[in-house]
Order: sequence, then structure tokens, then C-alpha cells
Amino acid sequence: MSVLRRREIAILFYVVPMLFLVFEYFTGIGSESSSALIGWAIILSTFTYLIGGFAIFRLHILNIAKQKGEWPYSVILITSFALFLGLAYTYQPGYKWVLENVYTPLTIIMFGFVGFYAATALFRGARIRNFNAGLLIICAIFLMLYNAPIGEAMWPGFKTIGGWLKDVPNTGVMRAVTIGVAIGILATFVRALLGLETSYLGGK
Amino acid sequence: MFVVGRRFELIVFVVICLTMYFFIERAKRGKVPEIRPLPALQALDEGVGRAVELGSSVHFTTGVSGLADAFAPQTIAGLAIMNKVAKVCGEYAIPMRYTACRSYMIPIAEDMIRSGYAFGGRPEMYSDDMVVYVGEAQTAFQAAVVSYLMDEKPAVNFMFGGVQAEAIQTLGAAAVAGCMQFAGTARMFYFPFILCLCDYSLIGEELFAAAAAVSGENIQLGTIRGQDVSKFLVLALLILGIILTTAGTALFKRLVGW
Repeated sequence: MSVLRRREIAILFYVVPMLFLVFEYFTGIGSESSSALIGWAIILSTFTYLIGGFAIFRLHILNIAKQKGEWPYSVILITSFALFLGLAYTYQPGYKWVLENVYTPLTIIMFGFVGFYAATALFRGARIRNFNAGLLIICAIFLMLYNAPIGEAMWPGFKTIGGWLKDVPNTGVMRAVTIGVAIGILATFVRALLGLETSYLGGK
Repeated sequence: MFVVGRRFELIVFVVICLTMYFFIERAKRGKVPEIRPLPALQALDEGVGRAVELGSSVHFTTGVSGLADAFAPQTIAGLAIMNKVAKVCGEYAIPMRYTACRSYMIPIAEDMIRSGYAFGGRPEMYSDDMVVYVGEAQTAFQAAVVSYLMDEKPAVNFMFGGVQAEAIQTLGAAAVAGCMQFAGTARMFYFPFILCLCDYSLIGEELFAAAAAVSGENIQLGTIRGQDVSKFLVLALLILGIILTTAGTALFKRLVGW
């Protein structure tokens, strides 16, 4: 195997910059180099858009060629892409118009759906599968009625109990989870440093 | 030499790293710790088995977070679990699909799924169509995944990593589509959605523990024991802080700000 294709080289590319960033954080030495390093990572990841562009075009051109499934949407996607790219370089007002009147409203619609899903997630999927799930749902009911003005109007206890749930057990658990997560991230750091965690390189 | 205010942080950082290293070395020498079985990992085969029974497929995603942001450790943990899922799919000859929102995830996912099918003895099952890239926008990702889940109705949906708002729609749509769901993240805001909508969950540090445990290698299990011991160290530090602060001394405050 070529030296450049060896796994150890790829691991070094991951580990050395990571150690440098840690060194810079604690010592303050090389802060400019550290910023440059982060900049390089962003530039390098931008090059991968080429892979993404190729993957999208391959998928949709094949869809059209084989008239697979909902292939008319593939035509719309490729046409929109070409139109958007063309406008960006040839006619800026048209580009801005598409951005403001087509892309932005579509994005807002998708985020609107998130709100809808979030509001209805409990009704759609929540099941009292075990004691913990039951406890979660009871707490969720109290917290919803604590946040909704109608809760206090129904029974003042909703405000007291909901507030206590939010400020006491919730804060404690949040802090415990934060500590656990930080230690988990450190564990991943150590595994990556020792070359034990290599999933970012693909399968093995 | 060291930045003021970060010296104590550095000591804690070094102590925790050395603790992890000690337990990894210990595991190498054969002292393998026993760990609590994680139900989500135990049920992984059952999930893929369900796909076999239904003659359906498996969907996996790490969400919109990638390897170049603050959630990279969570994405790495998600990829470690995906490595295992790909192998199980290869063993059971079940089609798997990965939806990517970051272009650099394409070769990683392709390689992982390809090697998973090769591991399962079915390299011919792999095709490049198994990794679908939907663009860098979160909204495009949401639309594509929800559409796929509602149309194709895969038997199982896996979502592990530093998930963001897309998790709400993805998990909601998969629940409506009747998928068996496995999900995990260390992002607290999404815990309730995962707990409500998924059959098996890995929340907080469980995600990192699962990433180590999923390989089944003894050395990796050492880090899990290291994590547990580190938690005790932090707890001891907290108790010390409470005692010193309650006693009215500013020693702990000065130490933290050192």
C-alpha cells in the first residue's frame, strides 16, 4: 500500500492539529496559527462540495434517464439549480428575487413544520412504555400547563409545581448531563488520540 | 506559560485524560471492566431482524452536524454506531440508506456501508445509491428525509449524532410511518423528542459509551471505565467545592480561577 494511503497518515492529519488546538487553548501560544488552521479546515471542507455536487447530479440524472419514481422532481431540481446558478452570475436582481420570494418562503415553511411537529410530537408518538416514560409525560403536562396562561387559571398549583420542576430537578439533571457529556467528549478525544477511534475515516 | 484562569482546567483535563489512558492500558493487559448492557445496542440485531421480517430497509442518519463543527465528537460517535449497523445489515442482507447533509460525509459513509456489506459476506449488495446527499441546507435535509420516510417506510430508523432541529421532524415522521426507532444525542434540547418518539435511546454520555462499546473490543471498554472513574473525580471536586464555599473560604473560587 502506498505510504500516503496508510491509515496512520490520516490519523496524524487528525491528531496533530487537534493537539495543537488544545496547546493553543491552554497556553495562548500560536493563536494566529490556530485561527489559520481552522480557516484551512473550512476551506478544505468547501472543496468537498464538488463531491456533493457530483453525488446530487449523478442521482438525479440517473433518475431522469431511468424515469425512476418521482423523476419529474429531479427535472425541477436540476432546472432550479441551473437557473439559480445562472442568475447569480448574470442577473443579480433576478437572483435576489428568487432568493427572497422563492427560497426564503420555502425555508420558512419547512421551519413552520418543525414547530408543528414539535407541538404535536407528544400526541403522535409519546407512549407510556415504562415508569420513566410515564414520569416524563406527567412532568411534560405540568410544564406545558406552567407555560400556558390557561394552566394557572385552571389551578394555581400548576405554576408552583411546574416552576419547581423547571428550576430544581431540571437544572440539576441538566448540569449532571453536561458533566457526563464533557467527560464523554474527552473519552472520544483520548480514543482518537490513541488511534482507537477511527470511524471518521470510514469502515474497517 | 499557561493562560490565567485555565490552569486548573488544564489540571482537570490532564487528570481525566490520564485516567482514561490508565484504564485503556489496564484493559490491554486483560483487566476488562464489566459494563452495564445498553438496551439500544442489545436491540440493534432485533431492529435489523424486523427489517428482514418486513422485507424492508434500514435508514441511518447523523443529522445535519458534521465533523467540522462543535458537535464533531457526537458525529464520530454516531459513525461508530453506523459501522456496526452496516455490518449487521450486511449479515442480514438488508438494504441500508444513509442520508448525508455534509458533502464530506459521502465518502466516509460509502466506505462504511461498503465494508459493512463486505464484512457480512455480501459485497455485491452495496451500491453508491445507498448514500444520498441532499445538500447543505437543514431544510432540504428535513424535506428529503421526511419524504423518504413517508414514501418508503423503512422498518427501522437510526439517528445518532449531534442532531439539531431536523430531529424533531425526522423522528416525528418516522413515528408516523411506523418505523422502529433508535436515536441518540448529547444535545439536551432534543432529549424529550428522542425519549417520546423512539423505542431505544442513547442520551448524553450514553452515546459516547455506546460508541466505545459497539466495537466489542476490550481496549475500547477501558475508556468506559475511565469515564465512570472521571465522573467520580468530578463529583469529589464538586463536594469539595460545596464544603469549602459553605465554610466561607474563597479557596475553591481562587483555585477555579487560577
